[in-house]
Amino acid sequence: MRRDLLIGQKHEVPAEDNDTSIFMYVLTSIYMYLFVVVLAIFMAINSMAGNWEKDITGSITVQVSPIEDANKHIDVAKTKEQLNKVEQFMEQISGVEEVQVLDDAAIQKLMSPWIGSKVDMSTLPIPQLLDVRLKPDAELNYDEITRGMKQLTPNASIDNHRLWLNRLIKFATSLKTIALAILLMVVAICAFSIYYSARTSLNINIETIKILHIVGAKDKFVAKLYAKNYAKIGLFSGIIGLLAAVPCIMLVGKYGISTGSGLLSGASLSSAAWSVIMLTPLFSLCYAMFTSYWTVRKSLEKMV
Amino acid sequence: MTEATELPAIIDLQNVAVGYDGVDILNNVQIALQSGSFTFITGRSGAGKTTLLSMLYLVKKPSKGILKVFGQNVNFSNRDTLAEMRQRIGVVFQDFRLLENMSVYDNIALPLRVRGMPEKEIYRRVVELLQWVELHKSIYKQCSTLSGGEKQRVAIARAVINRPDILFADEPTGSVDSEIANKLMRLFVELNKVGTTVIIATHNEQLTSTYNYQRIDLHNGTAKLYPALQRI
Repeated sequence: MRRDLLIGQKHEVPAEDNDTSIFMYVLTSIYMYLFVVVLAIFMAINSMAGNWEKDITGSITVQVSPIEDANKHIDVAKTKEQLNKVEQFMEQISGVEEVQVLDDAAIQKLMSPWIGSKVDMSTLPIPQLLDVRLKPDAELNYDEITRGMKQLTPNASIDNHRLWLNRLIKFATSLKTIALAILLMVVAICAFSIYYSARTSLNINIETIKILHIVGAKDKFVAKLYAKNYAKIGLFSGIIGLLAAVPCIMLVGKYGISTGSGLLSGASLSSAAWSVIMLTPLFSLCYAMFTSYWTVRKSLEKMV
Repeated sequence: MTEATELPAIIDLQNVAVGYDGVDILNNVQIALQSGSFTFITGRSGAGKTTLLSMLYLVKKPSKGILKVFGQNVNFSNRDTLAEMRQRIGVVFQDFRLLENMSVYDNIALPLRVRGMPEKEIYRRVVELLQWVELHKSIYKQCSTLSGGEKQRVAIARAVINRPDILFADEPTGSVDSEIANKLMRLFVELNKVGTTVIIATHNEQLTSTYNYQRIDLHNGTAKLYPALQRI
């Protein structure tokens, strides 16, 4: 049997390889590029906000300001003594899992973006820090702890990160909402494009469709032909969009890491997130296929 | 009526009206056509032959009355049921209505593909039919390159490929010479002999007098069935 006869079915609806199809390939590829980029941003922000949330509930920082002697020099021994007292105080609080004093090297590392790495830390009036890890679901009374600490030394204070991290999380949530809105917008515009393109193609090929109906084609037969064409467009555009978006995502990620900011480092994409991104061509295929199928079925009821 | 009056009506029109945009062209049509019958639809140009035909091959619904095809009331049939009924119908159009950018094979295979027949069986049937209409050498030709006569044979092949219970033809001899017209008519007669109900719309008086079959005459918005042998 001749092969060209077997593949003759592709000619039943001349909806492919025409100007409308080419336009749809280009348009859907652009939509999919935007979709993948925004999806990656959404998932990165989500991961970053999740890490911040974990930090809020997982730890607090206690700082002890350096004590100065009569000559306005830092009294290292006295500061150390106060630090030990605060450390012991924090360790006996229920809900506290571990208290760790940050040594000069750790503090220097934290400060290095502002003061560099070649500064003698002992000469600077930088507070000593305690990293206090909390037990899961621990609920501390910060007012009471602060009062207890102040009795030991007025130089100690608690930074429970909550206030500023809450602001950051609110900011991240608003970014996430915007990203989600853009995603939905891209999906909606894509659906409209498929809808109008399929309708246009139906109008152009109305005589062919009428003949198909006369020879007994059901609406779903015609809809399946269109769905097949649009599935191809969806898959191809999904792959093109993905291939264009991945380098952009990696580039942005690389710049994010190179800033050395602890805040941005949480904005990484997990392997699960990458899997979701890699599945976007499949999503694009299904979306284009079902949208066109639905459009054609609904349109045919009115047209013929 | 014809001698086949005892057979069940394959097409039954009860007080049917049909037209366009709310204006009825035909009114109170009351006709029953038996399975296996051969019928001409006659009338002057504009009498409503094509309109009646398009209603009978289920592209148009009656505006009034009841139309039953294969015993089913068309008015209450959903789109899928109508499509299934159309799969049992073949139509030959005056202007052929072929898909010009497709090959002869693809055009004739269309009704079978619609029914989901395996491609191997489609190929067997199409080749067999193309030999019958003497177009087997043109199987791969694009329809736009065919002559009028060849196109007509492709249109007929497409109409009969699914072995329809009813075959409709709208002015099939309108654009061919008398020799081809006679050949076509013999083909329709052959199909009728094997049980296909044939309904031909024509204004060709010579044709209806040569072939003595019952006819529906359309006149002044009404339709009347005249049996064979009896003339107005």
